[in-house]
Amino acid sequence: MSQDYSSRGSVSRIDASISVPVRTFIFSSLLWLLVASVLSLIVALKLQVPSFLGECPWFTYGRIETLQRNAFIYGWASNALFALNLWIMSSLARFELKSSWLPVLGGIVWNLTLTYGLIQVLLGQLNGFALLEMPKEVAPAMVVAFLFAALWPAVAFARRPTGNVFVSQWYIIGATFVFPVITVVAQLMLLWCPTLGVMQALVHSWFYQNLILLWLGGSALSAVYYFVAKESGRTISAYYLATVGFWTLFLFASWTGPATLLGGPIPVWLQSVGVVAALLMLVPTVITAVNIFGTLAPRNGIAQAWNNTTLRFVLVGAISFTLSALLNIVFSTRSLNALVRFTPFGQAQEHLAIYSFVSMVIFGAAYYILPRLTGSFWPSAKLVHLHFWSCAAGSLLFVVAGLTQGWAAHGRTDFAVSALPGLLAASLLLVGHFAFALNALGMLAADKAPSNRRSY
Amino acid sequence: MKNLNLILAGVFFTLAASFGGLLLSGQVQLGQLHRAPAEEGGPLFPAKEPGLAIQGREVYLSLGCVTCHTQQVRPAGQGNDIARGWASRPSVARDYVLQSQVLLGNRRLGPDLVNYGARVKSDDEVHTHLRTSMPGSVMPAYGFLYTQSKDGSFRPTEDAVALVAYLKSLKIDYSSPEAKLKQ
Amino acid sequence: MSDSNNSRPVISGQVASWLGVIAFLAVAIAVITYAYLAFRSTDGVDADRRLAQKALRADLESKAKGKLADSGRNTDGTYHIPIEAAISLIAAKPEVLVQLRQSNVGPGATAPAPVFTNGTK
Ligand code: HEC
Repeated sequence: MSQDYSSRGSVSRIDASISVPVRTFIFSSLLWLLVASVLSLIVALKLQVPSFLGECPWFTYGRIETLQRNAFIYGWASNALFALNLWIMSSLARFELKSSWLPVLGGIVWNLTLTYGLIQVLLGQLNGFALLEMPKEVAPAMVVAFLFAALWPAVAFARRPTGNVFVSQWYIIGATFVFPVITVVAQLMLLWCPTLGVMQALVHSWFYQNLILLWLGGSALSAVYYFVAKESGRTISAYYLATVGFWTLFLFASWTGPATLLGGPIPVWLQSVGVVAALLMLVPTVITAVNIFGTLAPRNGIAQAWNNTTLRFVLVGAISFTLSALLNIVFSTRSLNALVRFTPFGQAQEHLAIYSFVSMVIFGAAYYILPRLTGSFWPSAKLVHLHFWSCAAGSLLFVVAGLTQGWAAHGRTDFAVSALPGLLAASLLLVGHFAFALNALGMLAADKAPSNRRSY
Repeated sequence: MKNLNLILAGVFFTLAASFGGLLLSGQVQLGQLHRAPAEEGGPLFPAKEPGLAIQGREVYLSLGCVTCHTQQVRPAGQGNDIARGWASRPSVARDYVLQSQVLLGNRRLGPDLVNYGARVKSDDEVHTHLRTSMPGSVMPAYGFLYTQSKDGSFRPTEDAVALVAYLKSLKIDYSSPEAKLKQ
Repeated sequence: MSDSNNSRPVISGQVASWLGVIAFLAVAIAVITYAYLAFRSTDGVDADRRLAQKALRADLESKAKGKLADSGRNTDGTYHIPIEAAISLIAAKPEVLVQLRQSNVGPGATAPAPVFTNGTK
């Protein structure tokens, strides 16, 4: 998996071949990131001043929150992961994409349908299932767009010249497979041919856990393995366990759905199955921790990682992954779950997974990929620092906000006051994201003609 | 594991296993659930929703009330929902068999609403709650659901009327074979 | 990679692999979807019963309508004739009506049941 970057400022043939689609994805993901951050600031403001933007049904809390969630997951994270998966797989499998217009087309359709779906949500056409809120004609189009945009890593893997396999490749293939299957099945069972009664909640929990843990989580884990190995220049410690980690993650994560419905009106045996699966998630969690931290910890590796922009973000992501996985395990035991279920703390836990883990890893990866893709440097090192520190602080504050709000939800402390850390966190993240976007857009704009700058 | 199709097949197997184990077996158990009488020969529960309430659910959905309100009450051993007076029995799967979209919800910034219809006294109370913001509450006022006439009084729009009918139809004040109401 | 044949195939190797992955996904989705629909149809039994009942009701109703339009013998031994015929009969011979009234005063149990209640509920 070595690639020759000895001459900085030039773009490898592999990177040049995927440059247009990767840029398309990154560019769209940046726009969605900004949209989502502004929306989450509005949501946080609305918890302080409920009447803020309250005159018009379009901007009611429920719709804005729904928009924020979908823009973040489908707009920012998914677009960025299309780019990451394609880039990582191409470089591992030494793949030169021939028909790059296909993924570009996929990306365009994906973003247009997403925009359409979100406008419908804004106008009041929404369902009650988180991340399936958009009207039912949207998901089929998005799945087709996904096939165009995101299957190229699998093609790269199938056509790689050597038989070598690195653990990142499994994760990418698994994650890519999961998304279309769960989306079609959940759509069918919830909106097209709906099941009756609480079966819907069960189906939704299955979809949701798979989406978060396998599509987002799996893709991000692939990047963690890749960049930890690549940037530290070390081999993954206890690498033989990585296979077990991969398979146990995919095996157990898809059963954890009912563990998110504890105490709900679904059969108790299903809840117990979910809890068992959630406890078994300890296996992949420990294995990835051994792999990642075992690689970085010895010989002062953490300090070195800290001094490397990419690894610093990835490290924060990996720590958040381990932490959020452990919290999920602990709080899926019945008695503890009863305490935190339905409270904002549960949301903070989720934030740890989809923001502090997935997004931080994406940021780290972008700091590695974009220079190689464009052949230029990051315009401003100051903005990189600003980005890291405000996002790290914002992530931490979100967890604090979860605790204070959760406390308020139980007792009688004033809710608005308890939501203040959340407001601060949302503002910090917005600042960080602007810094990141400014830098990245500057880089994308600096170099307009990628394909005729080929060199080794 | 070097072959693409083998990895894909393996991942397919893991997904299919959870699909079969959770969703198909859930469907076998829950798919046949129907309304049931509280006692032998009595009326069937849950009662059919009035048409206005069905329209009201659409309003509830469209305004995203589900982001702050749940519609499920956990049994006494699991959380303090019953102690908080949200209902006198836990909600069970049978309570939901008539609903086109089940809005269990997973976050409670406001109180649970599954039995709201049984605790509210009058339509006016609900209208006032929706139109104005309670002091110290994070629930926004939904003023756009009302029009003000010349004499200063507020008239609910069709949406508001339907929404209130829906909220008042939310009741689990009957016994079901799985959860008897304690007298 | 070695796709650099001079005679380019209609579908390049990469696109062919891509279609292969799509085919795999399609099969996977079809299998799961089929399993769901097959399991779901078991609770279609109820819908089938409703459909059958509807057909039965329509059948009985059309039979009952038929009885209004032709003459014949009822199961309880009385006779029925089309309504127009009955009206002209009464118009020609009004005392029939009086006779009918008298027979209706008799014990209700023997009175012929209205035809419509023969259908299912
Ligand atoms: C931002 C979160 C939020 C949203 C969105 C929200 N609510 Fe509330 N709701 C609350 C809170 C907090 C309370 C408790 C304080 C109060 O009574 O205002 C509450 C209370 C209520 C109550 C009174 C419950 C009781 O037991 O007295 C009703 C009814 C209600 N909400 C209905 C709705 C409806 C209908 C919608 C959608 C149009 C909605 N809520 C949207 C937060 C929210």
